[in-house]
Amino acid sequence: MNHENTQAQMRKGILEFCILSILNKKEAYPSEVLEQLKNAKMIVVEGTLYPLLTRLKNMELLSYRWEESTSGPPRKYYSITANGQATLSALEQTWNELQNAVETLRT
Amino acid sequence: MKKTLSIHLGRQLFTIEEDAYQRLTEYLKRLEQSLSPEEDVKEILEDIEMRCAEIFQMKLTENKMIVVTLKEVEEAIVSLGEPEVISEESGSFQSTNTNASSKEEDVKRRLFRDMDNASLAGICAGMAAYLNIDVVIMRILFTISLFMGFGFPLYIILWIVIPNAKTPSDRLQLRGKPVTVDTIKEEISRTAKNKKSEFMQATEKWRNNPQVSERARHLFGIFAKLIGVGFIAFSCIWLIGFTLTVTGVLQIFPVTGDQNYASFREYLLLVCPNENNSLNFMWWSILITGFTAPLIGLIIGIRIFMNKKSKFFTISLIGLPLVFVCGIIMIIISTIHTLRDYEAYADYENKHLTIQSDELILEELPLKINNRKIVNHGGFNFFNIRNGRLTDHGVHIKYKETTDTVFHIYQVLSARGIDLTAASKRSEHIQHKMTISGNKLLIDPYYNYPLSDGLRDQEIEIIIEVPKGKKLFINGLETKIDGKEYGGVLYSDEAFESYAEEEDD
Repeated sequence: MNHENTQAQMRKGILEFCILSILNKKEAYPSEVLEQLKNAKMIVVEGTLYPLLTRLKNMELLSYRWEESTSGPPRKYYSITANGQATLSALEQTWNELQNAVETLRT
Repeated sequence: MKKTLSIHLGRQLFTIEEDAYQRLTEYLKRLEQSLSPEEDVKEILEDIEMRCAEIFQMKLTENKMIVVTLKEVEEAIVSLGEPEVISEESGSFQSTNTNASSKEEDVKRRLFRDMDNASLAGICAGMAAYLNIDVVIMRILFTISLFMGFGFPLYIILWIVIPNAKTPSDRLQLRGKPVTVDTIKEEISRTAKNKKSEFMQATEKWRNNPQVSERARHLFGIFAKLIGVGFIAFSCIWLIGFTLTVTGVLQIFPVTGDQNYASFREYLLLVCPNENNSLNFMWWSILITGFTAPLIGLIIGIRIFMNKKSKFFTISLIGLPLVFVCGIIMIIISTIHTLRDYEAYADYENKHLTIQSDELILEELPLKINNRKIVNHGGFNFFNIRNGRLTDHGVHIKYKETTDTVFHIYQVLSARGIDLTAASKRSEHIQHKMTISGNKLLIDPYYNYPLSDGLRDQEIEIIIEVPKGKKLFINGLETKIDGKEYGGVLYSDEAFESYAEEEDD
């Protein structure tokens, strides 16, 4: 574990961005969020999601409700809040700016 | 078969195997520790537990199982992710991370006994780890101190005073490693890799029983080992000795005559002359008993020493004593059979002489060896066997008054047997020399009988009836005759003594 790990830092920031994007499209269970991340080839372990979701919820960017399930106990069903959407827009802007800057510098 | 527990995980009830439970608990604990306390650790943990329960439920249904095993737990952990990865990726790590001291800092060391590398009580291993030197060096030092005298009490004191390294954190502190989540994880997996034999696990479970003091039990373990070694050693010695004696390689039974030492079987022949297989029966019963006993001892010794229960041990520890008891019974039977051969006795009157002189002088027949008269001899102690005949020493002399006017001398040969016929046959076989010349009665203090008759209490009795008023001299001394019956035994190297015998009515 290294405070200095740039890669981890990058991934962490981007993961939050990704989660907000996913939930912006539609409400989802954590497992569904994971599924979509996998499909987009964003590889994370399941466990990573939970602290992130909780943190985003604590920052009131996400909310959840309990969905009853026929097979087993109820599950958390996450959705994006208005605050979340606002943050998402800001993040999208930052992302675009970063992308442009990096592309320019690389070529 | 494995022990299971019931757990309530993520709002579901599961039956889980013991080792899977350990793994799961350890994982959840590590997870908890690695998450930053500024966040909702509780909620995150709950979420993960619920997800874990979901995974378990899915797998159980998929595979039609009812119990969560280690496999499911490990698959779930792979899916959920290791705590370090989770906390790093989610940026949720402990800011007060003691991993900063991954450099060789002066972490405070504490001295423990290291039971994992212990040979006896872990004292040398513990001190060696503490001082960062080789265990062997430590043990050499201790052995030297043992010979210098203070080693043994020093060891006992250290054993009592130095605590045992029980937890992984103890073990880390012993070696001066920092105690963090990572190092503890390392330590756990390191010690788990040391394949503990059944023995260690059994004694460990036994040791961890809080009802008996740990040290007492360990001491007992060592004591038991010593006893086990003792059993093995003693049984081996017995086995070797017995085999040598029985096969006749070792001839330690002293005799004189044709050989100087006889083998065990030859000795046995004296008592059980080979008629009707009585000797063979006795022989086999002795063999059975004599071989089974050390085998039992060996197995007991090995069992104690290795503290292993196995079917082989149990079977042999039931079977062998049974065989042993059979052997004992056989010995008893053959002994009784042999004793019966002593029941009947027959006294056979071989010679009857009369002497008309006034005095009878009784003397030892002079011993002639190679036609040379031996004047004095003695020291005859062991069986003398020569040319198939056994020579014995000591002739009974009995004398009493008679109303007759002449001396009567009787030579009686006596032997024992299972019945009168057998006894009297044996008595006929006895040879004894007795001669008269004038008024001198010469009696050989030795007599002999065939070896094949066996030891059956063969004896010679010379009965002398002395007319009233006449005198009897034995070996130069006048005997006293006053109406009683006297008897004594004539040996060649002792003065003749006689005693009045009780009259039996």
